Amino acid sequence: MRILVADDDAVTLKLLAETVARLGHQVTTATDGRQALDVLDGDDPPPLALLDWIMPVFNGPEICRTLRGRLDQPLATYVILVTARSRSADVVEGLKAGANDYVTKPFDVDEISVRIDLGIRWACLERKLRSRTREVEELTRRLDETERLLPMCPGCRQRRTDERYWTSVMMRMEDGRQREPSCPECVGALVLK
Amino acid sequence: MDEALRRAGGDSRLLDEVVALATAAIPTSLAAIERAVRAADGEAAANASHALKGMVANFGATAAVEAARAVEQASRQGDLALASERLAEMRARMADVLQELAHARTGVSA
Repeated sequence: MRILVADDDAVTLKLLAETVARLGHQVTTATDGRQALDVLDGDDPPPLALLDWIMPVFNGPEICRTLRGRLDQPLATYVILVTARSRSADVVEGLKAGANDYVTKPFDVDEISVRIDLGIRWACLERKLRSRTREVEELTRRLDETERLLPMCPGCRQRRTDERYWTSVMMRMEDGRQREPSCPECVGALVLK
Repeated sequence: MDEALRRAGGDSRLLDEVVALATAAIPTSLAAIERAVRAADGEAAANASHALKGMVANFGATAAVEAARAVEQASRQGDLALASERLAEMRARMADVLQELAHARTGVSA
């Protein structure tokens, strides 16, 4: 999986990027907030990003707010803020800005590896969910189309199954007028009255 | 240096690379912080001190981290006079770190 690592400190960037590569992922790096946002806002954004809080141009929370605020964001990115800011108020602020997770610096290799794995699981589920949602939307659209073509008696709301229905459909298609909308039972009951 | 080696996943080649990066970056960062303090640019001084703090934290350099934190806090509060006072301590602690890094490089290449 492709993962963005953004940090303006060359040492932390190198250590994080190598940790991510060791986990078997493809790494894209950024050294300031502008570069990070360009990657995340591009045509094919990575599903996971490790963002430093304090970076030149845009900081981590600003990037999170920008991404979360975009209605046309094609794919949600799972964001882990990696920062030396360790107060509870900082964690709250970072998560409220839209980050999914928060790791304090200096990072622990085992901890960040587990959190990356967690993020990847989330990103995979998110992708599956989006794909399934698109499938369900398409199926619903097709079902609606079919429902419009299916015969239904306005009297008893039952689906018509009589053979004359198809004649009625053909006539409707030919002259645009509804013929014999009621089912044979309802027509019979009407005649008997 | 053990802490940095653990952070490098036990990879001594990677440790050597980050030691080289830090050796080059620390003097540059110090100069940038001093420039920002002299120019009374509190935000720039705070951000640069923050980055330097994060960098040396990777090597477990607790005293240097605290010294950088002091400059960062004073700069963030806009107290550039206090930041300037605390620069001397930060310079001294960063010199210690550079010395340790130099030993580590000698150790790796030996």
